[in-house]
Amino acid sequence: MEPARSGAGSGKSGTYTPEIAETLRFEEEIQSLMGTTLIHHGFECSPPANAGGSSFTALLGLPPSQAVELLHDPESGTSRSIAAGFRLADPKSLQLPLVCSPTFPSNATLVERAARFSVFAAAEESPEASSAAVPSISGGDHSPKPKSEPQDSDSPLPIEKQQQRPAKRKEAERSSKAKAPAKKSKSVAGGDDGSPGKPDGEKLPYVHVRARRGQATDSHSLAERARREKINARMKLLQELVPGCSKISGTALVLDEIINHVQLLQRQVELLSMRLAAVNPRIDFTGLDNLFSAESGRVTVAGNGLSWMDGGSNAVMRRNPHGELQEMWHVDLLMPHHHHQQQTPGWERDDSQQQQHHVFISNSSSCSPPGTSLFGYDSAASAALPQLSNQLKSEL
Amino acid sequence: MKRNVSSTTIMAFHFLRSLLHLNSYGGGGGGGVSPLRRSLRIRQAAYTSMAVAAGPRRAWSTALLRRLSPRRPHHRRAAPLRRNKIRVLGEVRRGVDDGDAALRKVVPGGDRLDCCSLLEETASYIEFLSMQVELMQRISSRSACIDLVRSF
Repeated sequence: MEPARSGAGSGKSGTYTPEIAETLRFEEEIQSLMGTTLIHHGFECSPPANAGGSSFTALLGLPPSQAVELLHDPESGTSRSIAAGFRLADPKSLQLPLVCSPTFPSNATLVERAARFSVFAAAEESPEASSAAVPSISGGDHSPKPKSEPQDSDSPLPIEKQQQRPAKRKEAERSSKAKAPAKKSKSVAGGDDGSPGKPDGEKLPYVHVRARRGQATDSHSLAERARREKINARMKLLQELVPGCSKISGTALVLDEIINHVQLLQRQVELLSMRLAAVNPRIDFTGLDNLFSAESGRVTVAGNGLSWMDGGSNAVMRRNPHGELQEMWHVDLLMPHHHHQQQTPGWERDDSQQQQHHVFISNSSSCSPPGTSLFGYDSAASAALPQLSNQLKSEL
Repeated sequence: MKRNVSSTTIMAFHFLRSLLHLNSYGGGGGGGVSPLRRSLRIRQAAYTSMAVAAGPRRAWSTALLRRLSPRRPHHRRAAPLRRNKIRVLGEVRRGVDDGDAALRKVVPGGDRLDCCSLLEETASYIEFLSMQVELMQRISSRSACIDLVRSF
């Protein structure tokens, strides 16, 4: 009985006014049904959670796919499936840092109620209107009982506001509390009201995110909160990157672990460089192709790039034995469809010649480190490497 | 993440080439090169190839290359620099301490970044560092095996 949550929730203001009364009635019904029970979704729903919790932007800090998946579930149909979906989503959401976890109870319950309400509403009104109305109803979080009262007063406000401006909202907004003036527009492409299940890349350029109840709504704190959540998202990524870091809770310890890991890697580089220096005055490149076998992917070659690379390496190999060791070697290869020309001029480029490729030869042994080369492409190298390996072998 | 085929390949290519140059022309140019100096140069080569493979879009790669080869013509970084300074100063004024100080010391070019980009750069730096370490381990193990075989 899921209403067709199609496209833009275009305002049909005429149909909204009976909708509002309906929504109010249903809101109270739901409130009475819920009563004092806290709905457990495997989280700790603490009453002061909202005061300390972060807004729904926590979900936005997630990779968009996760946020969409969490909200995708309601589209599956009945509220039961939604609840099941959220229970499935629980392990996923648990991975968020603890700061963000308080949002989830409200999100889960809210979308559940959204779905439930959509079930009610679909019987009454047109699907489009209900889809716009649903989010507004779910604006109240019923998980902690003390808040249910003020929510009723809050919900009429957002209902009207949301129905009047349906086109600008991401479905994520449904789950956050409504304080009317509290908005923050983010530069994330937002979906709209009518399509909660659609992925994030919907039409609109920015997202209105509402502040949660009990939190300051001035722009400063909103901005800070968004920033904090961005940082938390990055920290999560880092935690995944560093082995053994996901168990650690607490930013300071995680940071320490990250720093330790970086220092460990740097020490490994030093160690290996000493080992390489000691082991072989002459590196044998016979097995070079095996080294690259795991790395060489597709062999599609940008034609001019490869030919240039070929010529360049040939020139290098031929010139080196002559002992011209005082030149700088800049290998500047560009994949035309990868890099704009503007990105490279500052990187390594002889501006006097406006061509894309330059070849110089550097002396790597005397004073400077081996020439700074830049490859801006991803295919020519893989094909050129076996050739280079052959040439290197011939050099030896 | 960005661990695609091309950056590994680019890094390997560059590193091996520089190793080759070090070996063949280092011995030819000077009489004998002590392993210490060679290891220093190899380390520099490793970091250079890392930075090259990462590309100019990373703050740490730019800073690394700048540190390693000062002969490069200076190119101005884009606008964000000023904003970051203001942001960093603002944090100092507010007394906000994320504990990022140690991280900034470790990651090249970290002192100019704001906390958010610092974490991003750290992630990329760790990624490329581990790629480089893996590459060097492969090379060293291969060379060690071959040397061992040769000595018999």
